[in-house]
Amino acid sequence: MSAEMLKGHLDAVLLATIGDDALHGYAIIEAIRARSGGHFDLPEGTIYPALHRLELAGLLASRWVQPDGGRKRRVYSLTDSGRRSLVERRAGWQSFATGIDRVLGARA
Amino acid sequence: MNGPIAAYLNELDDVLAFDPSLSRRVRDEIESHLRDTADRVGEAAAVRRFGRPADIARAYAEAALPDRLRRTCVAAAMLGGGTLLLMRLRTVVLDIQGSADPLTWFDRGGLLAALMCIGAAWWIAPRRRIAPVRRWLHFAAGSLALSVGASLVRAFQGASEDRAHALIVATGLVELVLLAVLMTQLARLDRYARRLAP
Repeated sequence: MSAEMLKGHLDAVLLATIGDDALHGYAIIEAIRARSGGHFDLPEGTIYPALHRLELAGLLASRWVQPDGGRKRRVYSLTDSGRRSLVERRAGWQSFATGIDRVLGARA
Repeated sequence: MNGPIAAYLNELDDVLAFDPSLSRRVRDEIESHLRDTADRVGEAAAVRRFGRPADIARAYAEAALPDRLRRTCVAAAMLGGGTLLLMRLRTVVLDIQGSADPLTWFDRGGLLAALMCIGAAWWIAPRRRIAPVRRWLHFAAGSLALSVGASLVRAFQGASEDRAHALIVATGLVELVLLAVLMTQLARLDRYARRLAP
C-alpha cells in the first residue's frame, strides 16, 4: 500500500499499534513496519506530527521516560477517549473492508 | 555538537520558530529518534529518511492548527464575556445612565460588534479556515478595544468618589489584561498562518 493510501488511515494505524502499550515514536514506526510485514514503510517524519495531533485531540497521552543509562524518550499511550475511538475506527474499518471485498470480489 | 543531526535540528528550530514551545518539544523528541536511527544507519541516512525540516514544520503547524484556533477563540470569548460583565458591573455599581452621546454608541456598539465577530469566528473555527477566523478575531479585538476605552471614559466622567475611581481602574486593568491575552493568541495564530501559507 502506498504512503498516500495509508495517509487516510494513519490515525487508526497509530492508535491500534500503540494499543495497551506505552511506546515511543521510533518503536511505533518499527512496530508498524513489523506488523505490516514491511508493507507500511512510512516516511518517518510524518509520524510525529500525527502523534502530536492525536495528543491534542485527547486520544493519546505522553510522558518522558529515561531508562538507566538509556536515551530520554517521549512515550505515548491511549487515553480512555483514544480506546473508545479505536473501537469505533475498527468497527468502521471492518464495515468498509467488507464492502470493498464484496465489490472487488464480485468483479474478480 | 556538529554533524548532520545537529545541523538538521538547528534547521528545524528555525522553521519551527513560529511556536517556541512546540519547537522545544519537537527538538528533544526528534533528536532522540534520529540518534536511534543513526545507531543503525548513520547520521546522514537518519536525517535523509526523516524528511525536509520545512515539511515537518508544516505538518506540525497543520496538526496543531485546530488547537491553536480553539485557544484563540476561547481567549476572544473570555474577553468578550469578561468585558460584558465588567461593563455591567460598572454600570450598576456607579449607576451610569444611558445617553445618546458618541461614547455610549462606541461603548455598546463596539461590544455588540465584537460579540458578533467572536460568534462568527467560533462558527468558522471547526472548519479549520484560518484566514476568516483571523479576520473576525482582529475585528473583534479592535471593536473591544474601542468599547473598553469608551466605557472607561464614560465611567470616569460619571464618577466622583475615590471608591468609584478605584473600581473603574480595577475593572479596566482586568479588561486590558484580557485584551493582551487575546492579542498574544492572535499574534501566535498569525505566525501559524504564515507557516501554512502556500
